[in-house]
Amino acid sequence: MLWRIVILSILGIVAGLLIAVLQLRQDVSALEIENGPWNTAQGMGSADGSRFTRALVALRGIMALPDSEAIYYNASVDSDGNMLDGACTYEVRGGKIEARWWTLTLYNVEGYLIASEGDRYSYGSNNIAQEKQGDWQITVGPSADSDIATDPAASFQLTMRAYHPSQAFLENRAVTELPGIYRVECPK
Amino acid sequence: MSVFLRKWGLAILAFILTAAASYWTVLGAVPGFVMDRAWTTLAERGSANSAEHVGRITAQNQTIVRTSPDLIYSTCPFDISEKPLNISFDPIAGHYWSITIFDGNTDAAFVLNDRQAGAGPVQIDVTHGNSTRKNSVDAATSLAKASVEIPTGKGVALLRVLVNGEEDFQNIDAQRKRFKCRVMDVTSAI
Repeated sequence: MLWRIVILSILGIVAGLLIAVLQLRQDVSALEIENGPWNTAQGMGSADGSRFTRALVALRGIMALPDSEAIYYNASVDSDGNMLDGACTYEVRGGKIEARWWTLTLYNVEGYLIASEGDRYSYGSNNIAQEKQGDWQITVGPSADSDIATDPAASFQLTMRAYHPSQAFLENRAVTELPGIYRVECPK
Repeated sequence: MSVFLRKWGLAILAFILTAAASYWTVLGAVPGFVMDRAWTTLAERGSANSAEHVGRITAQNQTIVRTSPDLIYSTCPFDISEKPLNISFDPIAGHYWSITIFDGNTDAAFVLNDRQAGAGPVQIDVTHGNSTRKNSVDAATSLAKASVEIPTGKGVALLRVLVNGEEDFQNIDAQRKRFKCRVMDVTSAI
């Protein structure tokens, strides 16, 4: 009897370890709250987050701000569920975001900025005229006139940061209307 | 009870319990492990218990994942296992900024932003302790002079300032360098 317990205990330790490693190999799109192409979680950057959220955020976005200061969303797919592809051109369209200010930043799948002419890494509310904050659109793609530049040879992710979100935004992060990501053209 | 369960029941239970325990342990250990590596990277780039003022983040100079190119960062990796730390800063008018104190498990123990702080100088003392007092991350008390306790000996203080392009960066770079941190004589701690 004892040898069975010892062997299965060892196997249990290994199994738990493997499951944890496999889960943590995912990117931040594995965060549990889904809203269209975007994923987020409660309690990022604080002890209030789940054990999984805290571990994943430590690996993929260390030193995140707590919810009251900023909400983070990440997208690795477009609004139709297709992986974001740096060779394609996308329109990101949205309306008023209930926060003091917000930004969209493009990262490679490892979470690093991609070099581009003019350092076109991000775009945000500071770049949009006040009268257009309620209805805006930007281009993300490999061409030189894109608002945010991609690497045509690689997949990418978009991170949206909304600073000082309203209470309603905080409470409805899974259903509040977020920008859509639409593929416009893709090379054959 | 079937023969199978009599033979294997306890062993299967041991499998489930040890799998859950090791999964739980790994997830709990990751933040501390990652923070320790980040702390070492920051301390080697600047030095422990003093502020380093990083330039605008580009694809060429990023060392930490998912840094924002719209912000400039000043970092202070600190070790308060023996003496407390004092952080001081003079607010920058007209810009979003925040100072966050992260403990050694990557958790934000305290945040102060431009709207909370007002225009006067900021003083934050950070001590190591295990009291149950929770450092509210959105406290509305006298935030310009705060006392923060964290459960780990090491941590990182991080200043974020929103910049609107290179010209803006040049205008405020000198001001954000008023973010300073230093270890304190124990007698002067709050």
